Amino acid sequence: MYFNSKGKEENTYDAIVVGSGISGGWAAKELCEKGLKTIILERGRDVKHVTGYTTANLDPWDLPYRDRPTAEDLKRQPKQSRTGYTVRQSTKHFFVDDIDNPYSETKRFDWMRGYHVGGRSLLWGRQSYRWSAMDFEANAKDGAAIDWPIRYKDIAPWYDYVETFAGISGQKEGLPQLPDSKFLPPMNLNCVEEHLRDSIAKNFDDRILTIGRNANLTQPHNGRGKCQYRNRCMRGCPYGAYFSSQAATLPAAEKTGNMTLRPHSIVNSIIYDKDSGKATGVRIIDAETNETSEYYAKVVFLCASALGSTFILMNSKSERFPDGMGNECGELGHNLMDHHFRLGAYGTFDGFGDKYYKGRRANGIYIPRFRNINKKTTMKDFIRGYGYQGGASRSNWSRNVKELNFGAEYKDKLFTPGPWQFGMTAFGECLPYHENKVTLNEEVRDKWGQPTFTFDAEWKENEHSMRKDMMNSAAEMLEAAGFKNVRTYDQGSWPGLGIHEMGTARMGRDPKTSVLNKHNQVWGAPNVFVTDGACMTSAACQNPSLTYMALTARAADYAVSELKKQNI
Amino acid sequence: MNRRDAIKSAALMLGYAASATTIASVMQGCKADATPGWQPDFLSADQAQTLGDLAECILPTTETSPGAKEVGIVAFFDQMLKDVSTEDEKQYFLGELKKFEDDCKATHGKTFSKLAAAEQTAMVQKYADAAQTASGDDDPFFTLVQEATVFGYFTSEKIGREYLKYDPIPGEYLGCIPYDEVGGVWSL
Repeated sequence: MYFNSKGKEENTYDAIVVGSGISGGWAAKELCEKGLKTIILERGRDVKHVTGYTTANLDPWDLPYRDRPTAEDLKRQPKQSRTGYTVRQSTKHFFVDDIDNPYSETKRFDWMRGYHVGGRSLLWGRQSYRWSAMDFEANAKDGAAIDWPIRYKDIAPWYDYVETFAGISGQKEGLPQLPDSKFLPPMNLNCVEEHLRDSIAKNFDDRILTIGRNANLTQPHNGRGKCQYRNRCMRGCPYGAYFSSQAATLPAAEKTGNMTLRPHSIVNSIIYDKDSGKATGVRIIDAETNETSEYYAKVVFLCASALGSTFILMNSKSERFPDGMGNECGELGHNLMDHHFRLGAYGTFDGFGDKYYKGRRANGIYIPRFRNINKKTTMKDFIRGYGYQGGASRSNWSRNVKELNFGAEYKDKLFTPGPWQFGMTAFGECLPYHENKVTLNEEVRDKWGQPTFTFDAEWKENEHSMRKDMMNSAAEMLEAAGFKNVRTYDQGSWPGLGIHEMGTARMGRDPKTSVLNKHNQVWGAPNVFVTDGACMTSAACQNPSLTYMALTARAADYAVSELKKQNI
Repeated sequence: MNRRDAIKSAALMLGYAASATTIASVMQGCKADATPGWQPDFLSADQAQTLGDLAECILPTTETSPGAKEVGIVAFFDQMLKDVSTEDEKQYFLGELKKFEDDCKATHGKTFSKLAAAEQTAMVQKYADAAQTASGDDDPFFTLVQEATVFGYFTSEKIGREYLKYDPIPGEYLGCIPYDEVGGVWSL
């Protein structure tokens, strides 16, 4: 039984958007701008732009424990801390409490969650790369999984559209495997990065080095300020200089007068009407009062993150969908993907000792994919490919000083920069495997009495074979450029740690093998759209958020046109 | 051997030729005072004293910059041990600290803090050398103290604002400028 303190009419909107992160913010902006009265249901607390970024201006000495997590912090957030960089005094409040939000692991899965207004749009790495024609055709060509129902040409205009609004800095390179965006001016490389770029151009005819393409503004844009090179993005940016829901999409949605934002609203399930074959609304639990209520709308956008949206679908059982909404195909929760990474190479460079840099650039270099692009670059041992991120810097006081470890001379040395060093990390594509999955766990309940997830996913042969090449090719490029002490490394990579969860409610051409159609509509519930990472049919090797933005804007446009035609 | 020679030979053992200035600084270095009136929460007064003097030997007061004690390294150790270290880490660290003190007493008949500067330097050198050749999973005592001292020192407000190059809002990224325009390592 669900009790509404307000009448049904008061809880009725044109559209419901579940989640306020990168995808939800875009859905809300587009639907509001197209005239729909839209409510955003966000499961976490509100975080106001600027005033909500409580640590944004704190220096190391201003933070308790110089920003290190305490033993008590790690007891509350043991899983959120697995990245090594998320649970800090400056950022821990943007990650969930693992005790209140448990999950189980048949195999290790590192699930980083940000439950608050803005979601992980406040926390993301901001690297923004288009996917290419190659990526949308890959499944069909090599047969690793079902075909994408769309091609690059379907999404290209939507990339243009979202980039123009969001502001992506980068350098045009004209590569078929990594189409250029509508760029703001690129950030600068430093001297050693330029040296490696030139060396790669000379020594390798199949690869290039370019500045990372990121959603940080290199000039004022749409009323937002430019990047100040403080490299504190993850704490929230008071200048609004990187793309987040708070800085960009939510203000645009709010400006229309059509937006209602309801924080502390955990969407538990979708209400489905068998007769009309459509969803009528959602059931929510108020995270603070535990009261349940219902909200109603003509269209529902699930943008609760790949796994968040998948949970809601799985938990939406009805006569029509006894195994979860959209799960007639048996693929809901399956094909879980992430990028595998945390390996590559590093080395030191002897030159440029009289050079240094100014500013803390929250961006690095990118070496786009160069494997399996064409016949000449086809690999024997693996399909698909990987790209590198990284950068050069001069080490500081945290370095080891040769043959010195205490005393006055040692201390003096630490006040000068050490040698230049270059580190490269490869990000590889993971194939969609039916066996890599999440399932609902009815035994373990969260703080609100809801079932939780059990993860069962692993890298397989293609990923393992690719990893060897990811390490060795990095070392090869550094050595060719004259770097010294070149070492390869593999810190170990577990699914989830890339924080690029994808694929658990994939798009496809056939309701027998996919959860969503080519417009992100749930098969059998056409007024329910899923536009976050859940919809991805393959993972490519690029950071995925820009593609979620484009797919969301495209789906919202389609939803409104279908509403107007009274098709949904 | 007079005190100055002892420090010279310590410098030689370190594998570098220390300048007259740094030698003079080392001589004063290990003897700086802790903040008066401050009481530790976690450490005993003796432990705090030893750690402070040890940290001061690692990063001593010189003409160019303050030593570890002056920037509150003892309070930093106290707070980090109390709240950041796990129970196992606490026990291990205090156990190693006790072994270090016992060694000082066995060798010199005094606690570390009561040793002459040259004797302190020699003790620290012994543990620094042991850390170089240590194997096994547990971090050597010297390495733990050294890393915490360096971290606490360079993230302190005094060093971060006044002695490193502090630029809270750079506003731009210039990737290749003459080092002399900066003249030191960046703070942030």
